Amino acid sequence: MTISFYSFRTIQTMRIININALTMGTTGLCETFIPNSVYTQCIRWKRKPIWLPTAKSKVFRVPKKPVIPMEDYVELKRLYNNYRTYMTSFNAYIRQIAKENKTQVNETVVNELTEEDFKACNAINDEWNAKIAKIREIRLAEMREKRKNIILQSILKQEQKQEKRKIRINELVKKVKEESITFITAENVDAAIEECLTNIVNHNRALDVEGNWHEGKYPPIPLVEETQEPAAIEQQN
Amino acid sequence: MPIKLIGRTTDFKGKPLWEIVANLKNFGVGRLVIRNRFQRYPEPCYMKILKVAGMPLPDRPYTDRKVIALVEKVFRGNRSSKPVQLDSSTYKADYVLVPKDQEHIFLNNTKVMEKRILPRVTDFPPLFSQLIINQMKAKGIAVSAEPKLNLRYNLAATDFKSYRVAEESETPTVKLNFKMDESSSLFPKPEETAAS
Repeated sequence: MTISFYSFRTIQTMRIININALTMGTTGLCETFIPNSVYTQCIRWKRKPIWLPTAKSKVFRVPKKPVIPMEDYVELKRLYNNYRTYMTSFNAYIRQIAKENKTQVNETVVNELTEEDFKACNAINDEWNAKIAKIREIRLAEMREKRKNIILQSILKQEQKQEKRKIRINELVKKVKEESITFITAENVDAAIEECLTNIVNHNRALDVEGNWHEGKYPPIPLVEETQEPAAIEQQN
Repeated sequence: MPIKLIGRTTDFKGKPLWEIVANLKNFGVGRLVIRNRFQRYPEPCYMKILKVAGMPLPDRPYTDRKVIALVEKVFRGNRSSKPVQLDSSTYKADYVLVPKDQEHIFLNNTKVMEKRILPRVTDFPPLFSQLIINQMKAKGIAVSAEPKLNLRYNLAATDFKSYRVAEESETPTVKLNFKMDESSSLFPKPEETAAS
Protein backbone atom coordinates (compact mmCIF):
# COMPACT_ATOMS: atom_id res chain seq x y z
CA MET A 1 0.00 0.00 0.00
CA THR A 2 2.57 2.52 1.07
CA ILE A 3 5.03 1.52 -1.57
CA SER A 4 2.51 1.67 -4.33
CA PHE A 5 1.38 5.10 -3.23
CA TYR A 6 4.71 6.86 -3.66
CA SER A 7 6.39 7.42 -6.95
CA PHE A 8 9.55 5.61 -7.81
CA ARG A 9 11.79 8.62 -7.19
CA THR A 10 10.19 9.33 -3.83
CA ILE A 11 10.73 5.74 -2.78
CA GLN A 12 14.35 5.93 -3.88
CA THR A 13 14.87 9.10 -1.89
CA MET A 14 13.15 7.59 1.11
CA ARG A 15 15.51 4.67 0.88
CA ILE A 16 18.52 6.93 0.68
CA ILE A 17 17.44 9.00 3.69
CA ASN A 18 16.39 5.76 5.43
CA ILE A 19 12.86 6.66 6.41
CA ASN A 20 9.57 4.94 5.78
CA ALA A 21 6.10 6.11 4.87
CA LEU A 22 4.98 6.48 8.46
CA THR A 23 7.85 8.69 9.54
CA MET A 24 7.72 10.75 6.40
CA GLY A 25 4.04 11.66 6.46
CA THR A 26 2.34 12.76 3.33
CA THR A 27 3.70 16.24 2.80
CA GLY A 28 7.26 15.84 4.02
CA LEU A 29 8.80 15.25 0.65
CA CYS A 30 7.83 17.22 -2.38
CA GLU A 31 9.02 15.70 -5.59
CA THR A 32 10.70 18.98 -6.61
CA PHE A 33 12.96 18.83 -3.55
CA ILE A 34 14.30 15.46 -4.51
CA PRO A 35 17.91 15.95 -5.53
CA ASN A 36 19.12 15.21 -9.01
CA SER A 37 15.70 14.75 -10.53
CA VAL A 38 14.08 16.04 -13.61
CA TYR A 39 10.65 17.22 -12.56
CA THR A 40 8.43 14.19 -12.48
CA GLN A 41 4.76 13.89 -11.76
CA CYS A 42 3.15 10.64 -10.82
CA ILE A 43 0.03 10.09 -12.87
CA ARG A 44 -1.11 6.78 -11.59
CA TRP A 45 -1.03 7.53 -7.88
CA LYS A 46 -2.76 10.73 -6.80
CA ARG A 47 -1.37 13.09 -4.28
CA LYS A 48 -3.90 12.29 -1.57
CA PRO A 49 -3.61 8.89 0.08
CA ILE A 50 -6.83 6.94 0.50
CA TRP A 51 -6.94 7.19 4.28
CA LEU A 52 -7.09 10.98 4.36
CA PRO A 53 -10.54 12.60 4.37
CA THR A 54 -11.96 14.42 1.39
CA ALA A 55 -10.12 17.62 0.63
CA LYS A 56 -11.91 20.76 1.79
CA SER A 57 -12.11 22.07 -1.74
CA LYS A 58 -13.74 18.84 -2.91
CA VAL A 59 -16.30 18.34 -0.17
CA PHE A 60 -19.22 19.85 -2.10
CA ARG A 61 -18.22 18.54 -5.48
CA VAL A 62 -20.81 16.18 -6.95
CA PRO A 63 -19.29 13.91 -9.57
CA LYS A 64 -21.34 13.63 -12.69
CA LYS A 65 -22.82 10.28 -13.49
CA PRO A 66 -21.28 8.93 -16.67
CA VAL A 67 -23.72 8.60 -19.54
CA ILE A 68 -23.00 5.51 -21.60
CA PRO A 69 -24.98 4.94 -24.78
CA MET A 70 -27.18 1.85 -24.64
CA GLU A 71 -25.43 0.12 -27.54
CA ASP A 72 -22.04 0.65 -25.94
CA TYR A 73 -23.36 -0.54 -22.61
CA VAL A 74 -24.76 -3.75 -24.06
CA GLU A 75 -21.60 -4.49 -25.97
CA LEU A 76 -19.31 -3.74 -23.03
CA LYS A 77 -21.42 -5.82 -20.69
CA ARG A 78 -21.38 -8.75 -23.08
CA LEU A 79 -17.60 -8.55 -23.41
CA TYR A 80 -17.05 -8.28 -19.67
CA ASN A 81 -19.39 -11.18 -19.01
CA ASN A 82 -17.57 -13.32 -21.53
CA TYR A 83 -14.24 -12.33 -20.10
CA ARG A 84 -15.25 -13.13 -16.55
CA THR A 85 -16.82 -16.44 -17.50
CA TYR A 86 -13.72 -17.44 -19.40
CA MET A 87 -11.37 -16.41 -16.63
CA THR A 88 -13.30 -18.24 -13.90
CA SER A 89 -13.46 -21.36 -16.08
CA PHE A 90 -9.78 -21.22 -16.89
CA ASN A 91 -8.89 -20.53 -13.28
CA ALA A 92 -10.94 -23.50 -12.15
CA TYR A 93 -9.25 -25.71 -14.76
CA ILE A 94 -5.78 -24.70 -13.59
CA ARG A 95 -6.72 -25.19 -9.96
CA GLN A 96 -8.01 -28.64 -10.76
CA ILE A 97 -4.81 -29.56 -12.60
CA ALA A 98 -2.72 -28.26 -9.72
CA LYS A 99 -4.76 -30.31 -7.29
CA GLU A 100 -4.35 -33.47 -9.36
CA ASN A 101 -0.61 -32.95 -9.57
CA LYS A 102 -0.42 -32.33 -5.87
CA THR A 103 -2.22 -35.54 -4.96
CA GLN A 104 -0.12 -37.53 -7.41
CA VAL A 105 3.06 -36.16 -5.93
CA ASN A 106 1.95 -36.78 -2.38
CA GLU A 107 1.19 -40.44 -2.66
CA THR A 108 3.99 -42.45 -4.20
CA VAL A 109 6.48 -40.46 -6.17
CA VAL A 110 7.70 -38.38 -3.29
CA ASN A 111 8.25 -41.41 -1.06
CA GLU A 112 10.20 -43.22 -3.75
CA LEU A 113 12.24 -40.16 -4.49
CA THR A 114 13.04 -39.58 -0.86
CA GLU A 115 14.07 -43.21 -0.45
CA GLU A 116 16.31 -43.05 -3.49
CA ASP A 117 17.75 -39.81 -2.29
CA PHE A 118 18.35 -41.30 1.12
CA LYS A 119 20.11 -44.30 -0.38
CA ALA A 120 22.36 -42.13 -2.52
CA CYS A 121 23.15 -39.87 0.42
CA ASN A 122 23.85 -42.89 2.60
CA ALA A 123 26.27 -44.32 0.04
CA ILE A 124 28.15 -41.05 -0.14
CA ASN A 125 28.20 -40.86 3.62
CA ASP A 126 29.60 -44.40 3.94
CA GLU A 127 32.32 -43.59 1.44
CA TRP A 128 33.28 -40.51 3.39
CA ASN A 129 33.24 -42.45 6.61
CA ALA A 130 35.58 -45.12 5.21
CA LYS A 131 37.98 -42.50 3.91
CA ILE A 132 38.07 -40.70 7.20
CA ALA A 133 38.43 -43.99 9.10
CA LYS A 134 41.64 -44.72 7.16
CA ILE A 135 43.03 -41.30 7.94
CA ARG A 136 42.02 -41.70 11.55
CA GLU A 137 43.75 -45.08 11.87
CA ILE A 138 47.01 -43.68 10.56
CA ARG A 139 46.73 -40.71 12.85
CA LEU A 140 45.94 -42.84 15.88
CA ALA A 141 48.87 -45.21 15.17
CA GLU A 142 51.20 -42.23 14.96
CA MET A 143 49.82 -40.89 18.18
CA ARG A 144 50.27 -44.24 19.92
CA GLU A 145 53.89 -44.49 18.73
CA LYS A 146 54.64 -40.99 19.94
CA ARG A 147 53.08 -41.64 23.30
CA LYS A 148 55.03 -44.89 23.67
CA ASN A 149 58.29 -43.08 22.94
CA ILE A 150 57.49 -40.33 25.37
CA ILE A 151 56.66 -42.83 28.12
CA LEU A 152 59.83 -44.83 27.44
CA GLN A 153 61.94 -41.74 27.58
CA SER A 154 60.31 -40.64 30.78
CA ILE A 155 60.94 -44.08 32.32
CA LEU A 156 64.57 -43.90 31.26
CA LYS A 157 64.96 -40.47 32.76
CA GLN A 158 63.34 -41.66 35.94
CA GLU A 159 65.75 -44.60 36.14
CA GLN A 160 68.75 -42.38 35.60
CA LYS A 161 67.50 -40.04 38.25
CA GLN A 162 67.00 -42.95 40.66
CA GLU A 163 70.51 -44.20 39.98
CA LYS A 164 72.04 -40.81 40.63
CA ARG A 165 70.06 -40.58 43.82
CA LYS A 166 71.25 -44.02 44.89
CA ILE A 167 74.88 -43.08 44.31
CA ARG A 168 74.43 -39.88 46.25
CA ILE A 169 72.79 -41.69 49.13
CA ASN A 170 75.48 -44.36 49.14
CA GLU A 171 78.13 -41.70 49.35
CA LEU A 172 76.27 -40.07 52.18
CA VAL A 173 75.95 -43.37 54.02
CA LYS A 174 79.65 -44.11 53.55
CA LYS A 175 80.56 -40.70 54.91
CA VAL A 176 78.28 -41.12 57.88
CA LYS A 177 79.73 -44.58 58.54
CA GLU A 178 83.20 -43.12 58.49
CA GLU A 179 82.13 -40.42 60.87
CA SER A 180 80.23 -42.83 63.07
CA ILE A 181 83.50 -43.87 64.76
CA THR A 182 83.61 -40.53 66.55
CA PHE A 183 79.97 -40.70 67.73
CA ILE A 184 79.20 -40.77 71.41
CA THR A 185 77.44 -43.99 72.24
CA ALA A 186 76.21 -45.61 75.43
CA GLU A 187 79.56 -47.39 75.80
CA ASN A 188 81.89 -44.43 75.55
CA VAL A 189 79.62 -41.79 77.03
CA ASP A 190 81.46 -41.80 80.37
CA ALA A 191 84.85 -41.37 78.69
CA ALA A 192 83.47 -38.54 76.61
CA ILE A 193 82.11 -36.81 79.69
CA GLU A 194 85.39 -37.24 81.35
CA GLU A 195 87.23 -35.79 78.45
CA CYS A 196 84.84 -32.87 78.28
CA LEU A 197 85.33 -32.15 81.90
CA THR A 198 89.09 -32.35 81.62
CA ASN A 199 89.47 -30.34 78.42
CA ILE A 200 87.26 -27.34 78.96
CA VAL A 201 87.02 -25.24 75.82
CA ASN A 202 86.24 -21.62 76.28
CA HIS A 203 84.81 -19.89 73.24
CA ASN A 204 84.42 -16.64 75.04
CA ARG A 205 87.46 -14.95 73.54
CA ALA A 206 88.12 -12.58 70.64
CA LEU A 207 90.93 -11.69 68.26
CA ASP A 208 91.86 -8.12 67.41
CA VAL A 209 93.63 -6.72 64.33
CA GLU A 210 97.09 -7.15 65.79
CA GLY A 211 96.60 -10.81 66.57
CA ASN A 212 96.12 -10.51 70.33
CA TRP A 213 93.64 -12.77 72.05
CA HIS A 214 91.31 -11.21 74.56
CA GLU A 215 89.79 -13.53 77.12
CA GLY A 216 86.19 -12.86 78.03
CA LYS A 217 85.85 -11.70 81.63
CA TYR A 218 82.45 -11.41 83.24
CA PRO A 219 81.51 -10.74 86.77
CA PRO A 220 80.28 -13.79 88.63
CA ILE A 221 76.51 -14.32 88.30
CA PRO A 222 74.63 -14.56 91.55
CA LEU A 223 73.36 -18.08 92.25
CA VAL A 224 69.74 -18.63 91.47
CA GLU A 225 69.44 -22.37 91.33
CA GLU A 226 71.76 -25.06 92.40
CA THR A 227 71.40 -27.04 89.18
CA GLN A 228 72.56 -24.12 87.11
CA GLU A 229 75.43 -23.27 89.36
CA PRO A 230 78.14 -25.58 88.07
CA ALA A 231 77.53 -24.70 84.40
CA ALA A 232 77.59 -21.00 85.16
CA ILE A 233 80.76 -21.31 87.09
CA GLU A 234 82.33 -23.31 84.30
CA GLN A 235 81.37 -20.67 81.75
CA GLN A 236 82.87 -17.91 83.82
CA ASN A 237 86.11 -19.80 84.09
CA MET B 1 -41.25 25.65 -1.25
CA PRO B 2 -40.10 22.95 -3.62
CA ILE B 3 -37.49 20.52 -2.35
CA LYS B 4 -34.17 20.82 -4.08
CA LEU B 5 -32.11 17.68 -3.99
CA ILE B 6 -28.35 18.02 -3.71
CA GLY B 7 -25.73 15.37 -4.32
CA ARG B 8 -25.40 12.31 -6.42
CA THR B 9 -28.38 11.21 -8.44
CA THR B 10 -29.88 7.77 -8.10
CA ASP B 11 -31.65 5.37 -10.40
CA PHE B 12 -33.99 4.27 -7.66
CA LYS B 13 -37.51 5.56 -7.61
CA GLY B 14 -39.91 4.49 -4.89
CA LYS B 15 -39.88 3.63 -1.22
CA PRO B 16 -38.23 1.10 1.03
CA LEU B 17 -40.37 -2.00 1.37
CA TRP B 18 -41.18 -1.35 5.02
CA GLU B 19 -42.77 2.00 4.25
CA ILE B 20 -45.16 0.31 1.82
CA VAL B 21 -45.90 -2.80 3.79
CA ALA B 22 -46.34 -1.19 7.20
CA ASN B 23 -49.26 0.92 5.94
CA LEU B 24 -51.20 -1.98 4.42
CA LYS B 25 -53.79 -4.23 5.96
CA ASN B 26 -52.26 -7.53 7.09
CA PHE B 27 -48.86 -6.12 6.02
CA GLY B 28 -49.86 -6.36 2.39
CA VAL B 29 -50.02 -10.12 2.09
CA GLY B 30 -51.35 -10.99 -1.34
CA ARG B 31 -50.49 -7.60 -2.91
CA LEU B 32 -48.16 -6.99 -5.82
CA VAL B 33 -44.94 -5.02 -5.40
CA ILE B 34 -42.50 -4.09 -8.11
CA ARG B 35 -38.89 -3.04 -8.16
CA ASN B 36 -38.74 0.09 -10.26
CA ARG B 37 -35.26 -0.79 -11.48
CA PHE B 38 -36.58 -3.88 -13.27
CA GLN B 39 -39.28 -2.07 -15.18
CA ARG B 40 -36.87 -1.44 -18.05
CA TYR B 41 -37.64 -4.92 -19.37
CA PRO B 42 -40.67 -5.45 -21.61
CA GLU B 43 -41.42 -8.73 -19.81
CA PRO B 44 -43.30 -8.49 -16.49
CA CYS B 45 -41.23 -8.29 -13.30
CA TYR B 46 -43.20 -8.25 -10.06
CA MET B 47 -43.41 -9.84 -6.63
CA LYS B 48 -46.43 -11.12 -4.77
CA ILE B 49 -46.07 -10.84 -1.01
CA LEU B 50 -46.71 -14.04 0.92
CA LYS B 51 -45.40 -13.31 4.40
CA VAL B 52 -43.84 -10.31 6.15
CA ALA B 53 -41.79 -9.83 9.28
CA GLY B 54 -40.27 -6.54 10.33
CA MET B 55 -36.65 -6.28 11.36
CA PRO B 56 -35.48 -4.24 14.36
CA LEU B 57 -34.75 -0.58 13.78
CA PRO B 58 -31.28 0.05 12.42
CA ASP B 59 -28.62 1.28 14.84
CA ARG B 60 -27.42 4.08 12.65
CA PRO B 61 -29.62 7.11 12.11
CA TYR B 62 -31.01 8.04 8.68
CA THR B 63 -30.96 4.44 7.48
CA ASP B 64 -34.13 2.71 6.41
CA ARG B 65 -35.63 -0.20 8.20
CA LYS B 66 -35.33 -3.65 6.74
CA VAL B 67 -38.02 -6.28 6.38
CA ILE B 68 -37.97 -9.97 5.82
CA ALA B 69 -40.55 -10.78 3.20
CA LEU B 70 -41.37 -14.05 1.53
CA VAL B 71 -42.46 -13.35 -2.02
CA GLU B 72 -43.45 -15.13 -5.15
CA LYS B 73 -41.08 -13.64 -7.66
CA VAL B 74 -41.64 -13.20 -11.35
CA PHE B 75 -38.66 -11.93 -13.27
CA ARG B 76 -38.93 -11.24 -16.97
CA GLY B 77 -41.89 -13.55 -17.25
CA ASN B 78 -40.25 -16.44 -15.42
CA ARG B 79 -41.88 -17.48 -12.21
CA SER B 80 -39.67 -18.86 -9.44
CA SER B 81 -40.45 -22.41 -8.46
CA LYS B 82 -39.92 -21.68 -4.77
CA PRO B 83 -40.86 -18.60 -2.73
CA VAL B 84 -37.98 -16.14 -2.49
CA GLN B 85 -36.96 -14.36 0.69
CA LEU B 86 -36.23 -10.66 0.44
CA ASP B 87 -34.19 -9.32 3.30
CA SER B 88 -30.95 -7.53 2.71
CA SER B 89 -32.21 -5.48 -0.23
CA THR B 90 -35.47 -4.31 1.36
CA TYR B 91 -33.99 -1.03 2.58
CA LYS B 92 -33.56 0.16 -0.99
CA ALA B 93 -35.98 2.97 -1.82
CA ASP B 94 -36.98 1.32 -5.07
CA TYR B 95 -40.19 -0.55 -4.25
CA VAL B 96 -43.53 0.50 -5.65
CA LEU B 97 -46.91 -0.89 -4.70
CA VAL B 98 -49.17 -1.84 -7.59
CA PRO B 99 -52.74 -0.63 -7.09
CA LYS B 100 -55.31 -3.41 -7.20
CA ASP B 101 -56.95 -2.09 -10.33
CA GLN B 102 -53.63 -2.14 -12.18
CA GLU B 103 -52.56 -5.62 -11.17
CA HIS B 104 -53.99 -7.07 -14.35
CA ILE B 105 -51.37 -5.18 -16.39
CA PHE B 106 -48.69 -7.36 -14.83
CA LEU B 107 -50.69 -10.53 -14.42
CA ASN B 108 -51.98 -10.54 -17.99
CA ASN B 109 -48.60 -9.72 -19.55
CA THR B 110 -47.61 -13.06 -20.95
CA LYS B 111 -44.31 -12.07 -22.50
CA VAL B 112 -41.47 -14.38 -21.53
CA MET B 113 -37.84 -13.70 -22.23
CA GLU B 114 -36.07 -15.91 -24.63
CA LYS B 115 -33.56 -18.23 -22.98
CA ARG B 116 -30.12 -18.13 -24.45
CA ILE B 117 -28.36 -21.47 -24.73
CA LEU B 118 -24.74 -21.11 -23.67
CA PRO B 119 -21.91 -23.37 -24.84
CA ARG B 120 -20.64 -26.08 -22.54
CA VAL B 121 -17.06 -25.97 -23.71
CA THR B 122 -14.76 -23.59 -25.50
CA ASP B 123 -11.22 -23.48 -26.84
CA PHE B 124 -8.21 -23.10 -24.64
CA PRO B 125 -5.87 -20.19 -25.23
CA PRO B 126 -3.80 -21.20 -28.27
CA LEU B 127 -0.43 -21.56 -26.56
CA PHE B 128 -1.94 -23.33 -23.58
CA SER B 129 -3.72 -25.70 -25.90
CA GLN B 130 -0.41 -26.58 -27.57
CA LEU B 131 1.11 -27.10 -24.13
CA ILE B 132 -1.60 -29.56 -23.19
CA ILE B 133 -1.20 -31.44 -26.47
CA ASN B 134 2.55 -31.69 -25.93
CA GLN B 135 2.07 -32.92 -22.39
CA MET B 136 -0.39 -35.54 -23.55
CA LYS B 137 2.04 -36.69 -26.22
CA ALA B 138 4.81 -36.88 -23.66
CA LYS B 139 2.60 -39.07 -21.48
CA GLY B 140 1.81 -41.26 -24.47
CA ILE B 141 -1.86 -40.38 -24.82
CA ALA B 142 -3.18 -40.20 -28.37
CA VAL B 143 -4.44 -36.71 -29.20
CA SER B 144 -7.57 -37.22 -31.26
CA ALA B 145 -9.19 -33.79 -30.92
CA GLU B 146 -8.20 -30.41 -29.68
CA PRO B 147 -8.65 -30.18 -25.89
CA LYS B 148 -11.60 -28.11 -24.71
CA LEU B 149 -12.11 -25.98 -21.65
CA ASN B 150 -15.24 -26.68 -19.60
CA LEU B 151 -17.05 -23.42 -18.98
CA ARG B 152 -18.39 -22.54 -15.58
CA TYR B 153 -21.54 -20.51 -15.12
CA ASN B 154 -23.42 -19.24 -12.15
CA LEU B 155 -26.20 -21.79 -12.01
CA ALA B 156 -27.90 -20.59 -8.84
CA ALA B 157 -31.62 -19.80 -9.23
CA THR B 158 -31.79 -21.03 -12.79
CA ASP B 159 -35.54 -20.35 -12.90
CA PHE B 160 -35.03 -16.63 -13.46
CA LYS B 161 -31.88 -16.73 -15.45
CA SER B 162 -32.03 -15.63 -19.04
CA TYR B 163 -29.69 -18.43 -20.02
CA ARG B 164 -29.11 -22.12 -19.62
CA VAL B 165 -26.23 -24.38 -20.50
CA ALA B 166 -26.53 -26.42 -23.66
CA GLU B 167 -27.16 -30.14 -23.39
CA GLU B 168 -24.66 -32.61 -24.82
CA SER B 169 -26.26 -32.78 -28.26
CA GLU B 170 -27.57 -29.20 -28.41
CA THR B 171 -25.99 -26.43 -30.39
CA PRO B 172 -25.62 -23.23 -28.36
CA THR B 173 -27.29 -20.09 -29.60
CA VAL B 174 -24.62 -17.82 -28.17
CA LYS B 175 -20.96 -17.84 -29.04
CA LEU B 176 -18.38 -16.90 -26.50
CA ASN B 177 -16.30 -14.43 -28.46
CA PHE B 178 -14.13 -11.63 -27.27
CA LYS B 179 -14.50 -9.40 -30.28
CA MET B 180 -17.13 -6.96 -31.37
CA ASP B 181 -20.32 -8.91 -31.89
CA GLU B 182 -21.65 -9.00 -35.41
CA SER B 183 -25.17 -8.41 -34.19
CA SER B 184 -24.09 -5.19 -32.51
CA SER B 185 -24.89 -1.90 -34.16
CA LEU B 186 -21.31 -0.83 -33.48
CA PHE B 187 -19.97 -3.58 -35.71
CA PRO B 188 -18.33 -1.97 -38.76
CA LYS B 189 -20.36 -2.48 -41.90
CA PRO B 190 -18.64 -4.30 -44.76
CA GLU B 191 -18.84 -1.45 -47.28
CA GLU B 192 -17.37 1.00 -44.78
CA THR B 193 -14.40 -1.24 -44.13
CA ALA B 194 -13.93 -1.70 -47.87
CA ALA B 195 -13.94 2.08 -48.41
CA SER B 196 -11.46 2.70 -45.64
